[in-house]
Amino acid sequence: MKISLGIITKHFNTLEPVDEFLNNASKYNHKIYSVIIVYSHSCDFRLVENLKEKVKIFLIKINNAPQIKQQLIKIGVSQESINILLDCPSLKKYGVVPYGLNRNYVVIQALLTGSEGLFFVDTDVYPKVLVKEGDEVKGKEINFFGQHFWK
Amino acid sequence: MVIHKNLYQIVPFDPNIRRGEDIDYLINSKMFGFNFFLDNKLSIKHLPPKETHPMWKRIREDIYRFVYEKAKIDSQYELSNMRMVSAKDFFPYPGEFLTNELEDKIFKTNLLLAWNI
Repeated sequence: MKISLGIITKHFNTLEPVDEFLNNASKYNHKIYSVIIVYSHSCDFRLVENLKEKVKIFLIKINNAPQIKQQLIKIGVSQESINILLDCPSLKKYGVVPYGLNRNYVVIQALLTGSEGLFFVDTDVYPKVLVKEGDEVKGKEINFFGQHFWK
Repeated sequence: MVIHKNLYQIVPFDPNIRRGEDIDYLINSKMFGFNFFLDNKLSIKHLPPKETHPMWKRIREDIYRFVYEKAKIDSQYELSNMRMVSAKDFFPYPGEFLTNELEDKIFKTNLLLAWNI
């Protein structure tokens, strides 16, 4: 199964936690087909290049995705539906993006590129759980993908 | 949140949802006949950034979204490829916030906020 990781963020300026999830997948022998990064404000493209050495990356900027729109038109989606699903006037006006619309970019990119399963991860989560060992609390790595999908 | 293409090729996220889009997606999915499972045995480390907005503003956003989702449920009508859902389908959460008691909950929450309790 082609599994993709979906991330939405305002600024893509750190490899965390994408890197941790990719390493986690690798550690537990789960293949990640692609990572779909949707950002609204800024992106450090060097980080994207770095990630491309490990996995297929799709990078999309909100309100600037002509390729996606062209592909949707090609498969018969109406311009009106495309506008409803992807156009974000509030980004230009107020600098904010509704989360629902943000995630649609990921979903549509996943559909157009043949992903069969999508893991959404927020930028403030890690594939770990907190465990108490004696007096110490530690982050213990878990088989994140395995626990969610391959039960 | 993990979703299969059988689901996301039919159900998109509601583009009008400003926050709580994952919970809203459960409602949309159920309307299209897909059940979502919340597994309380799954865990993850969550390090949220420091809150930058005051409490009243966050609660206001929650009020907006629950009012919106309640209206979505209340305004359903029969369609051949969809099923009618009710607040009870989503108990205890978010169902508790989608009943006719929502307005009362909002009023009481605002009173508590005003009293700074």
